[in-house]
Amino acid sequence: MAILLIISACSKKNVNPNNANTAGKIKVGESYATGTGVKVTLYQDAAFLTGYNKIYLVITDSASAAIIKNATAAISTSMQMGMGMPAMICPVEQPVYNSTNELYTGASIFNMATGGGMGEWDLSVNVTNPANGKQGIASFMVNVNNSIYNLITTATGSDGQTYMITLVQPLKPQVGMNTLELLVDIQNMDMSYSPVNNFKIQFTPEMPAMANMTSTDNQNPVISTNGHYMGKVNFTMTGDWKLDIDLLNGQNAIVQDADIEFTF
Amino acid sequence: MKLILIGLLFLATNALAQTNNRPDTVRKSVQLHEVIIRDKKSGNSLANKGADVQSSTDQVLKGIPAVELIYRGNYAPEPMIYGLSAGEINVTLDGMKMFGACTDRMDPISSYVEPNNLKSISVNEGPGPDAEGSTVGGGINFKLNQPGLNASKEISGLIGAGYQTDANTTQTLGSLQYSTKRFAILVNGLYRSAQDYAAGGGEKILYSQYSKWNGGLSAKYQVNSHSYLNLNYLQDEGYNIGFPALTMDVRSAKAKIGAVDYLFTDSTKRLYYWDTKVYGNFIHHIMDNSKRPLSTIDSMPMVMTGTSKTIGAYSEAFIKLGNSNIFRTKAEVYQNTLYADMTMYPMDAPEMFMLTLPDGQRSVAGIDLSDNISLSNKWSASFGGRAEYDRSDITTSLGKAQLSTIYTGAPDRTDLLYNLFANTSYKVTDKWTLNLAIARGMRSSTLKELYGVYLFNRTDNYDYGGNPALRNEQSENGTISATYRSEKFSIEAKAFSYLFQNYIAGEVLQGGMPINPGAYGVKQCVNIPSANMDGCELKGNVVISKTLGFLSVNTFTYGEDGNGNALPLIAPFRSVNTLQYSFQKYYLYLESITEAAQKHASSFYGETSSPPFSILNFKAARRFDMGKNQLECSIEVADVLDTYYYEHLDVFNVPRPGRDFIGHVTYFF
Repeated sequence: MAILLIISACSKKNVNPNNANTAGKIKVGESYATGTGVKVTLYQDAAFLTGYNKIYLVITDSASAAIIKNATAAISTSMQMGMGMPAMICPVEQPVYNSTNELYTGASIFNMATGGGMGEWDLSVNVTNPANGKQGIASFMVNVNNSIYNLITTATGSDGQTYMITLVQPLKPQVGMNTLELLVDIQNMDMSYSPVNNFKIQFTPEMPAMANMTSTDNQNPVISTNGHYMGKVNFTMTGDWKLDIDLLNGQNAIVQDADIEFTF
Repeated sequence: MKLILIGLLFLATNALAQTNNRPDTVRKSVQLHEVIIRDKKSGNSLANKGADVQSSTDQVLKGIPAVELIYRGNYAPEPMIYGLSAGEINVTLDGMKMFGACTDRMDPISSYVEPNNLKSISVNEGPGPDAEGSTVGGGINFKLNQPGLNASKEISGLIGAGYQTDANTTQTLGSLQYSTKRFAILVNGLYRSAQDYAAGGGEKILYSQYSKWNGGLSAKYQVNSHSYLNLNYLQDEGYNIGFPALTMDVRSAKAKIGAVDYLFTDSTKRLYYWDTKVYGNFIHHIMDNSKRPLSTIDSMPMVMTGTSKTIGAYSEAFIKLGNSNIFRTKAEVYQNTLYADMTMYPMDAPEMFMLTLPDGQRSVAGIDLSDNISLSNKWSASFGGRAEYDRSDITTSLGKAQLSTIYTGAPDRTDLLYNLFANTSYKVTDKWTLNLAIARGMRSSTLKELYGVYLFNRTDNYDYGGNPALRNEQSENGTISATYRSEKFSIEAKAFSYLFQNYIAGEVLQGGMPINPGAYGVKQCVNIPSANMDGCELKGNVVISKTLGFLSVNTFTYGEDGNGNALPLIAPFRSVNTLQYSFQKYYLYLESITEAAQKHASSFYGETSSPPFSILNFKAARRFDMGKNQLECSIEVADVLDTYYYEHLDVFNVPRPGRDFIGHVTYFF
């Protein structure tokens, strides 16, 4: 009983209504959405890598520092590609407020690393303060490192559209059955992306070094939500693996033989 | 039938204390054979046939009619009993359970012992009290040599050297015993190395070289007038062992084996023999294809390592229930853990690693009960059974993840097994004896059959996946024999029939992609509802004169599964005929071995038919007495006519060594 009391005491201490629970997360920076009276603080799980990255926002009143729970926040990413070139835009998942940790959680898919003569990713949060109805942009320049695998593949479909397939899981593949989560986005006219929910995915894991040996009992990913497709992938051994992915719309093959390749 | 005793050698003239010999439960059984390697009482080393202390273990095993050997090269042939091998039979060392670490069956337990370590080898056909565990096919037990207390010489031993021309084989061995009234110690050692051998006709068989050393230590301490403490340690290490029948060779195969037992024996008591033993053994095995040209290995260098750890204990007691009624019980526990991995090194990609035996573990508790009774001077019987509880599992999360690549269910399982057996012998007249043995056998699937991941089988060139849902293989075994024995002539005719249920075999897995270079596909271990194996054996012995004898052993086995496919690894009709001459210090023998073609072979098991062959072997030996010491010299010519041949059981049809001159010189002191 004594132990329980201590635990409940601890829990109470941690649940501070004025403090978002950012334990285990890394602060990237903070930025004021000018003219709105809102401060946005950006957190990450780990340094951003090319691929799928969760992002966390703490949105507070810049004067009182109180958490704003019902702000409207929309994120977008872009990288300036130099004179005359259109800026690069990547898919994002819009932040949603979570009352448990008081964080707005979203995601951003970066398909290129920063540095090395390239630009920086501009992660903008377009936020509206519900208290005064004012809208403004809080902007972050973020660094993105190359992940050890190439987790994103872009392909032009048989319908002429551009699709981006991102490996969300497994990021630390292991021998045996792994949960496979793929994100499928389509590029819009304005270069932004939207998730695709109506595709059928077929895939084969192969080892190029073993004459494209495959494995058994794989489960094709099926749609979960927001362009995320969940399935299972069986890795027989460590080494260099390639996921050979087809996207189908009904019976029509939209994308064939898109590859995501990695080594573990 | 009586025990087949082939007195091979005496180490010294001292008699081994009679009390230390484990009683044989079914001396009268048709199914028990024993080869004595060291007969310390007879003192006659020249009554041997074909083998002596300098022979290899497989040469000694060849002398037992029921035993056949599967060769994969010039090293570590795998023993079988009437066409049954691997998990279908038990191979033990002084009752100790021990399991090979190699995933490709390249290290049968028999490869880790040498006749130099041994007192005898006993073979029990089918389930029975001397089968050393639950089985459908029987058991081979290698009995370690023990030092003798109170020997006539305080220090005795032997030293020997041997040479074989065909593979340029050299060997050196020695043994030394120190014996006092209450304490004795015996150490022995052997080194043997061979280069590539040549088949009949001269063709060099590449990758057939090997080298090995073997050392043993046994100590005995008499605690009190009826109790002894025994210690045994054995170490065997082989290096650079070529396997021409396979795609890989062995870099090293090492075994460490240790046991301590406490023995009570008092022939005046009802409980006259009680032995309690604790033991452990550890095998480490590494194979690779580093010596093979890249073109023959799909440019895929690879290394496979395996370990097998077994710890166990047993207590065995013999109780006299009456003058002609002996009851035996044995309780045992043991645990075996198998691990094997494989690393491949592609030319232009990162290395690839997987577990092939993913930390499989089996814990076993078993109890044996049997009774041996003489109902009259004409009628004797023995009967009994064994009950066993097995628990099998994969002990690590890494191992479980690896198994999930081929099997999605839970890997753990428990099994209750039982064996039942009854033997009876009836003496019709002084010269005629009839024997009947029946048994109900059951075995648990081996850890390789349950949990193996892409284990390559060279016999059918398939990668094998385990199946944790296998049912236990079962058998109904029956053997009948009639023996006629007179002073000049003896003949024994025997027929046996084994009926299997849930026979374990590999079935092609549709869509399975193999991993091992050269494999055609993937098979999974499955149960085939039924299979049967029938055979007969005819043995004749003619005493031509006091010094000259003729022995003929003829065996035939036929096996088929319920789907009509010929069972694999079944030897065809085989006839071994030997003329032996033995006079005082001289010994000569001439042996012919003939095997018919094996046309009953099934592609389901990856076999093709094999041609007949016939070979001749010759041996001459002479003993020189030098005071209390002796010198024994022998010259043997194997395959006298340099015939090119291979046996049906030889994996990948790799031919056997051709004409081989073998010389042994052994000095006993």
